[in-house]
Formats: sequence, C-alpha cells, structure tokens
Amino acid sequence: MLDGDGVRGDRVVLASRDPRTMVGFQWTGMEPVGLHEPDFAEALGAVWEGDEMVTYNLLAFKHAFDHYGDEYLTDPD
Amino acid sequence: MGSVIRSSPTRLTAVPEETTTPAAKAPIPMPSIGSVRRQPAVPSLGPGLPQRQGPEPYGGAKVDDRFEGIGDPFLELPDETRVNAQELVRDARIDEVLGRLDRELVALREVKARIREIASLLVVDRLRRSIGLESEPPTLHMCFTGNPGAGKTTVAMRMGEILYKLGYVRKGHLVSVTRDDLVGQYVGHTAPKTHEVIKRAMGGVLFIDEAYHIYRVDNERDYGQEVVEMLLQVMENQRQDLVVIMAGYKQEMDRFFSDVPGLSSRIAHHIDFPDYTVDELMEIARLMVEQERYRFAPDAEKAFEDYLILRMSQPRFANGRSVRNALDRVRMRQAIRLYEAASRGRNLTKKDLITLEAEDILKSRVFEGGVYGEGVSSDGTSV
Repeated sequence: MLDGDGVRGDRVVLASRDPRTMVGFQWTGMEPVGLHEPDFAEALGAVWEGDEMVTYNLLAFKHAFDHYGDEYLTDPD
Repeated sequence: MGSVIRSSPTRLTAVPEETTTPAAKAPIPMPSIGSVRRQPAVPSLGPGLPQRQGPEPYGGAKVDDRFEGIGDPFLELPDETRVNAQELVRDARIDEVLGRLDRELVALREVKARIREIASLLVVDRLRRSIGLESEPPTLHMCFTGNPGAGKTTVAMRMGEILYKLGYVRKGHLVSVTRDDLVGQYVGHTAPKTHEVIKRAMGGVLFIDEAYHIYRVDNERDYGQEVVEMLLQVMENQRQDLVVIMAGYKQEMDRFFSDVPGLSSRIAHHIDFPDYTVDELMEIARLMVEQERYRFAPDAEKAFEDYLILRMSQPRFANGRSVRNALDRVRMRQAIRLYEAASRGRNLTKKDLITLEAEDILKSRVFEGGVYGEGVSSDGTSV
C-alpha cells in the first residue's frame, strides 16, 4: 500500500476487530497517541488485513498523524 | 500529479503543489495520503461492517454463533446451556490485572473488593450478551472519593486496563486532568479546551481530579458550567468511547453532585478510598525502599514510623504520596551524609550506599514540632 517515498517495513498491527467485544474493535497500543478513529487511520495509510488494521511503515504513519493538522502536508504521489 | 493537503481549523482541502514552498515539505518519507481528513465524529468500524450513522447504542457485543437466530434466549434456551466463562476469564487476564493492583497498592481491601465486583459484573454482562440475553448496558462512569495519595489514580489506571481487556473500551489509557485543563479563561476558550481533552481520552478513561473545582455554583459567569454540560453530554452519548472517573474529597464531591443535577445518576460506581493506617504506610514505605534498592537500618524503621505519626497529624498529609516525598528527602540526607564522609577521606561501601540510617530521618524538621514554619512549610510540604 505504500508508494512514493514510503518504505515497506515490519508489519505493525494498530487495531484489531473483535465483534465479541462491546466496542467492535480495539487499538493495540501501537497506534500514535491521540489516534482514535479507524477511518482516519485508513486515510493516513493504514489498511485492514482480515480483522487487523496494519501499517508497514510505523514511523511514517506516526509522522503523518503528528503533522496532519499542520498547514501543509506533502503528498508524494 | 502532486497535491498538498492544506488544513484549516475546520477542514482539510487539496490544493495544487505549485502553491507550496519547499520549506513546507515533510522531512521524512510519507505514505501516500489521498484524502486526509480530520477524525470524524462518527467513526466507521472498517470494511465489512455497516457504516455507522451515529453513535451506536452501547452494548454491541456479538452473540456467539451457536446462539444466533434464537428469538428469545431467556425463554427458548435451556437453563443448562453452557457459556464460555473460563475462556473469557482466561483471555481477558483479569486476575493478572487484579494481582498487579494487589501488589502495587497496600491494604485498601474494600477498594480492591469493589474493583473485583465491577470486573465480575462486566464478565457476567459479556457472558449474558454472548448468549443473546439483553439487559440494560452497564454504566461505567465512576466516582472515587478520598484524601490525596490514597491510590485513586493508580486504581483508575488499572480500571482502564480491566475495561480494555474485557472489551468495554478501545484503548484503556488514562488521561488525568484538573479544572485548568478543561476550563478556559475567556469566552469561547472553554469548549475547544474541553473538546481537546475529551478527544485525547477517547477510547479510554478520563480521570478528572478534584472534579468539584470545575463548577463554581456561586459564580454565574464561571465557564465551568460549559464543561459540565459537555461532560454530561459525552457521558450519556459516547459511553462506548469514553469512561469518566471523577475524583476528589468525599464531602466536596457530594456537594458537587447536589449542585449538578443529572451527574450523579450517570455515575454507577462510587468508591471511597480510606486513609492508610501507620502500619499500612510503613508497609508502603518498605515497598518503596525495596523498589528503589535501598534498605532501612534497624533503628531507621522505628524513626520513620515516628516520623509518620507526627506527619499524619500535620496539614496536607497525602498518604502514600507523603511517604514517597519523605523518602525522597531521606535519600537526599543520606546522600549529603555520604558525600561529606567521602570528602573527609572515608571509603564508602555498598552497604553505605544502600542503607538509610535513622539520622537521615531524624534530621527532618517534623521532629522539631511539626507546625507551619517548622516541620511544614507554608505550602504544606514537610521539610
């Protein structure tokens, strides 16, 4: 899923879906502090693989999250 | 085709790349972000699940496959139907969290029993839902009352962990705030401030220390009223996303609840944290000394006990926190003693480095009378 300057690294599970829980899915603790919406995580590049939301570039993912509110965000497309 | 995501306070829009400056570019490789947008108010649950139209009703746990399609499980399922209790208890590892709570906090038997009760309630609620038995979803907001240093924050942290492990919150982290973090200083300042705090706490526990300071009933122009309204709303409408724990002195909390109608009824669990006894405080002290890799000399324990008895009768005594503060100062006096000994040419040993002597404790001014200006400074800290 990463392109442009993105670097494919370790698979990191950010959240997992478990319909048995009261809240549908839960974050794993690997997500950036302050991120709490899954579709926003998807917009930042995370993808669902089965019941797990993953990223292959945690550093860039966290960077994107930290700077999403900045005046400018580059898009390397 | 390059594009840049430009944010404004309310939205993010894509603009042509030519309008940006090189300095504005991000310094490290970025993933492709086609349409970055702010975190929406109503999150989706990912592909394959229906789009949420609004905050979903609390209590979304799925019924086990083998019980799907049963009209009324209360009437139709045989009483002997087995549920996966062991599996849930084992997977959630609640005993592990409760065990940690036991090790971290000395005494507080009643508090721990209440936490165990809440955990049991949630386990049973999950099991009932797994066979399709519907009942009123549990309210998870809580109120912890007690004096400072009684362990309220520690218990709140463990509570967050329990709620996470049982699947009642998405993260289980704790965001601890006071009035200053919520209430603004001018018109229009409060709502974004409170909103930011609530956003940070989403998926976990919002711990509001000394919650009664939020709202000043005698001041009509106080912005705290706005915070209370926002909290009431989020406590009711976003129960699946946030658990609120309000904490403070018991009397003040009681008054706060009577001043703010509707708040108390949204809080299901009121837990009172008693003060520690001298013996319990000594147990805490021994634990802390051991954790820091020190030990008391034989007569130092007695000296520290005497210190505690005096300190407890002085203003602003804060239970475990006062013990920690006192031990920090004892370590400092030990360090000064050792430094001076080394300066005089004495060789120090490991025993010197790890032993807290009675004299390190007895030098406290608490032993000189222990009143303002002597044992306790004007801000209430002992010296």
